[in-house]
Amino acid sequence: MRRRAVLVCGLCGALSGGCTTSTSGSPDGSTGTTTASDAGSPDAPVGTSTGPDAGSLAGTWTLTLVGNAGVLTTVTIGQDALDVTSSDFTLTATRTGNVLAFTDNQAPGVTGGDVGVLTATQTAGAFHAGILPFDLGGSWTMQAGPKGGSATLTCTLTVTATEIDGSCQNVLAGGPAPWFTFTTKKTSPAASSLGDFGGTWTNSWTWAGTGGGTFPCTLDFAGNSITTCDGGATDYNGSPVAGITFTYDGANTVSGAAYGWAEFSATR
Amino acid sequence: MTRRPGASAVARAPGLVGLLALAACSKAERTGPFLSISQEERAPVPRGAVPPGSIALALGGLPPEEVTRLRERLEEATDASVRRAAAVLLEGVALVPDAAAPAPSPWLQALPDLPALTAAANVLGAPWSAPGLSVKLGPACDAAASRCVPLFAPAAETADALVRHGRALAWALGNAARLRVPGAARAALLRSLRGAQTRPSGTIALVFGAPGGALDEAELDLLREQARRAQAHLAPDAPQRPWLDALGAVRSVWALPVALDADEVLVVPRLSALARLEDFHAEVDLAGTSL
Repeated sequence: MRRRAVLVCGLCGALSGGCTTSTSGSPDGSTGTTTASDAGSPDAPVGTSTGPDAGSLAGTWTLTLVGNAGVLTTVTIGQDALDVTSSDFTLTATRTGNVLAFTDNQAPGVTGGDVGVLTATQTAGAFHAGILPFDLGGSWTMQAGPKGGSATLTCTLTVTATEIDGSCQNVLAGGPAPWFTFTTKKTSPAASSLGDFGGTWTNSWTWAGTGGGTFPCTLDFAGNSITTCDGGATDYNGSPVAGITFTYDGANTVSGAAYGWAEFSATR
Repeated sequence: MTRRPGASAVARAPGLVGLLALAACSKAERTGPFLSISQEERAPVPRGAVPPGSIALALGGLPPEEVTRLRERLEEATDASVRRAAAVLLEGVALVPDAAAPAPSPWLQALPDLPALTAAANVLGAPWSAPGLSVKLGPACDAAASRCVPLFAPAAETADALVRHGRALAWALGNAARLRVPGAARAALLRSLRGAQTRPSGTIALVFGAPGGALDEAELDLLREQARRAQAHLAPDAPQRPWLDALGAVRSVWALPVALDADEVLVVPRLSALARLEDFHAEVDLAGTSL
């Protein structure tokens, strides 16, 4: 359940902006493909734009990940829609009005499976994400848990052009227990094909509870690339947004790494 | 230095011209090896995490001292693991982040250079396969293939999605820079390239000055012994175990699946650099200019 919650929240972040950086650092790096630059947008001063889809990340991408002998994961990006299909999990996200619904199946093909759901409700606000075809701006409330069951996790997220903040709490019998919080403030703007993401941001991530702590990290969105601070935590002893690199070639290839070592590339 | 087909542009640095001979290599454009790309209905065959021969190939494409570094890291990781286990057993100390252990993950750092290993696994991955797609490497085109392209074709964006995805499967060799380097500059260029490949933010995964070779057997013996020692401290289902199994059985001989002429050098990019191949070629050029 914990693994699913992390995954769902991470992928939710891919659509919700505040976790964009953290989703690039998701365990398999796959969600990193959901962020790139928009060579065709007004915010896209950098990069080569070729092909009919060069102005948007929309399309179907095949992922190559460290440790995989072949490409086993596909990511399909549409306007406010995401579909990830892997050999060991599937994830879909669809939008209806101001509600985003995520379904994460950790045992595809198995009757009853291991299915988690997350519902995110948006109060809209201004935010331009460049070629990332997702409406991210405003404030969000989220509930996540097993399909057909009660919510085990609640989160909030606010996304503006200058600040992105969020928090999540586990829902326990004795009341909510904080899991993590983060603040992300833009310290200087920069031209980026990711629109309002462009610039340098300072993220401060706090893991709650024993063994937790607060971990700062600088995030740079410029041109067609994302670079975050050195490092790469796989547990509660560091920032989950550290160690991320990401580059879009302006055409049909993205590549980079999460945790500082988990390389990936994707081809449309 | 002349970059043969497989590089996206001719050498940009004027200094290279004076240092390294230029030679036309149009022959390679007409001959193999080739990638035969086919659409497949069958699901790809699952493979292990560590393809046979990939560790030896990775070590063969890294600076020679990497074998020693790897053994020392493995020893540190084993010691840290023993210290943590002893603390729990003898003193009841909880398994919280341990200042005595190399941060952030001793076992992770004890693995072979990951970009190199990732690239080596792909180099030896033929035939490459993915859902709906299979790519063979051979000296000639497979008559049944849907597409056939030279392996070392100039790297350029293609509108043909099948070719694009086929080349992406064979990404390590398909994006490699094949250089022709005269003997006088060869050793210095190899040193310079291998210096570049150790940079964390670099784009170079592997450097080969020959199509095959052998690692130092005495150093390998020490590495294998350390790997076996480390295995004793891991749970049976530990994710590191396949790597340690492979390290414990690593052979000294390595071989590329493609031929290299005596004056050629093959430089393989990192997976993470595929969207910035211009940086990769610039780094290769820079290694030439720094001679």
